Amino acid sequence: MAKKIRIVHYINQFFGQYGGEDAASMGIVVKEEMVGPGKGLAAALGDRAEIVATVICGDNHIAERLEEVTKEVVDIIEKYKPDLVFAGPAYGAGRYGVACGSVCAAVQKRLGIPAVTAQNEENPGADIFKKELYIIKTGTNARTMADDTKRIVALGLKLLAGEFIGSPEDEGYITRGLARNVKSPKSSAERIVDMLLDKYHGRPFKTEVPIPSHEAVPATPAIKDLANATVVLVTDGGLYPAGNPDRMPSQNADTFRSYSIEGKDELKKGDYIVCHNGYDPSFVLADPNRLVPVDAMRELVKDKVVGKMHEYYLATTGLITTIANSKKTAQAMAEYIKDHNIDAAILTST
Amino acid sequence: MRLQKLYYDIENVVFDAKTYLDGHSLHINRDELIETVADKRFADITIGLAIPGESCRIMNPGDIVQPTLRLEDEKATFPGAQGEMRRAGNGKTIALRGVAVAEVCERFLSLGCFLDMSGPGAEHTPFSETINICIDPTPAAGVELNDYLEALKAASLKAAAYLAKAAKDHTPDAVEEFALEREGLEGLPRVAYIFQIFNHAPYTDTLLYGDSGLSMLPVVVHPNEILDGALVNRDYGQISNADPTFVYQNHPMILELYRRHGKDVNFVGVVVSNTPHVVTDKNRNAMLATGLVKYTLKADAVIITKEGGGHPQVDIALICDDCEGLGVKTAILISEFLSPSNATDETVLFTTKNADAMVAAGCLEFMIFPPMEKAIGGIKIANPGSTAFCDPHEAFRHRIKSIRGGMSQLGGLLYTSMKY
Amino acid sequence: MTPVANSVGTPRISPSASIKYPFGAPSLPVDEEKEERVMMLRDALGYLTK
Repeated sequence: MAKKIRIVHYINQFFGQYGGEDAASMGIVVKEEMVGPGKGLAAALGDRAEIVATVICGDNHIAERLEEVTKEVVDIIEKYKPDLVFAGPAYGAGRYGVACGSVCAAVQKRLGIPAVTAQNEENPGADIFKKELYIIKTGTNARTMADDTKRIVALGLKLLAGEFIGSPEDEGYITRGLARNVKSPKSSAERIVDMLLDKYHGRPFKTEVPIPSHEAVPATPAIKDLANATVVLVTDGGLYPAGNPDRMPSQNADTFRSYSIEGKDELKKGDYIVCHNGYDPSFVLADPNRLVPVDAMRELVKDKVVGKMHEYYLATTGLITTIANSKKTAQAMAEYIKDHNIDAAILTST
Repeated sequence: MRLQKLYYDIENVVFDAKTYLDGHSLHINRDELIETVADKRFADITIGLAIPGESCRIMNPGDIVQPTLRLEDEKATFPGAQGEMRRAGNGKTIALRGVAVAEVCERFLSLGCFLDMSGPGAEHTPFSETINICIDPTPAAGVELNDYLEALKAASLKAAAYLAKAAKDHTPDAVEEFALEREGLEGLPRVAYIFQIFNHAPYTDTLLYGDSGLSMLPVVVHPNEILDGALVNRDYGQISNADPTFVYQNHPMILELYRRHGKDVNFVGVVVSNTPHVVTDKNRNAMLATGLVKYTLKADAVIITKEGGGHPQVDIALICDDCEGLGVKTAILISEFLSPSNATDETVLFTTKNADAMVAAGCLEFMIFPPMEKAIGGIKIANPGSTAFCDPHEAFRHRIKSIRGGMSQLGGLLYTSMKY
Repeated sequence: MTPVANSVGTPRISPSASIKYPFGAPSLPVDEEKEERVMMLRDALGYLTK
């Protein structure tokens, strides 16, 4: 007979049958058997696997020191040399949901084995950990436990076998907000003709690419007195000093750098390089002021149109940059601007 | 216009004293091939073979070309780009299947790519299934990059015509005929195709009859012209952002529209459109492309595809809005560039509500590529995640779209992006 | 890329001619290009006061 798959199951005090809120501060207890929902898991697993241990922990105990207790839990799990870890289902319980997510994420990261939990989409645990994990979608209470445990097991076994994981609808997990390449039975050429004809004939169709809906960014208050304002020059066009001393990336930057322009009337050709794979840099290399207009700014300061130019320019690389990285860079830039008493920024984009 | 493609299926390539076709076996006189592609801008030319299933990685492949010869006008094979300037798309044309000419660029390119003949990377590209005859020239001393690339481009086109000539006077394995004329199309929707090519700078562009598309205005061409070598890829700056010439010669979107022509579609023609870098030019380009679709081709509906990355999306959105404004229904084919680890509702740069019918030709994703035993080409390509360079004999993590042929926005790949 | 800036909701956009040179006018002689750049920058700064 093939070796049985070893499983460790994480649950809270309530499902561990120690009690509700009154027992929520209990520490970690390990039982080398299945407990509570573990019985449903075991039934769905059949002969293929066995639950070698159940780790039970009070929701308050772990919630109050999430990182530390998560580490303790994973240390224990590691000792049982599992192939697969399950946690929950946590349903609508917030602290329990976060604990399950935290344990599963740490198991995957530290032990390199798959971990599956289940909870309601509104559970804060789902929101925090869905990018890292497959979380089976449940209702807010344990009424559907039999079905939920079946789906946890099915997905866990697929992950363990390295099998293809289908869509959230097919597998019953919470949409993680990611995309990946999968094979389609029809080529994109065939699909687009089908879609166009559906649209033309007024038949229902579903776009494969949703249109983003961005909200307008509220404008900051207008500068009242430009002649006394300090302005900083910023670019996402990847202009860095020759040699790219900070080794800034050619795409998808998540940070920026500041470079001194003190004493420079203009940015000289040859002193700068463009590290950005998205546009033909020849015009900027020939005259970097076309991207970061230091020469023009000096004139406007001289003419007292602008009070001062901040003596550093800020640079990043904006190319196939994820929204998350853009936000990170932007927040860091905003901090910098606040810290340096700068009133306004001119940002050039390529 | 009536094009007959004579297909010859090649199953085996061997070097020999003479270039000829023996059944499904292509024999190549290597010295003669080298002589055919020789150029003073090359110091030395190696001809390599990359075989499907082999543990082999081609480093920095440039264009990939299907061996082809326009039988009734041999000197006008790849007219304008390599052959004499006469109209393509009519008459008989030889096309060798199962084999391709691959340029190997021996100069560093900022966005290099690679091609694996086996392993997980091979699954993502059709060019792991062709026997690739690699033209691998080292540049002569002091030759500028663009001069080298010009010679490389000419070399692959010459080689493609030279190799196809071996099939002359042989019986083809299959014949396919392309003619748009058909009876009884009245009830079918008139569907046009806007093929937006990518042009950004010299050698980051596409050639139409040999002319760089950089300053082109939208133009109506017969789909046969594209299938017959009128369009040649010359994009070395954003390599693998645009499809190689091989894909134009077998343009999947055009082939699909041909397949549907007379069934559920009346395929009325192709507009080749541009991607200018100046906003005014973008507006002009979109307006003219839309005008051709609406008033010249009199289309009811249009498919729009693009090549290249970010800003060509702007051109697509402008065309989409203009077409829908004139009552022409639109559908868009696009790769999702902003997808890795990103919110999947923000995968495109535009927000027009008219773009409600879009097909995803895959997304930007990374994977680990295992080491390969054999390498063709000596350039180590940049690794997007670090300052290190990728060695063909070592494993590395790279974008799927950096596999030559791993990304195509022209309808051929079976991949789509799954939101999960 | 004003259409992109617009689509993400940027409130103050000063249009430039090209992706390749936001503050450039390469078709002009060097002196005139700089004058043009000063004017473009003056326009851009003007958005900050509105």
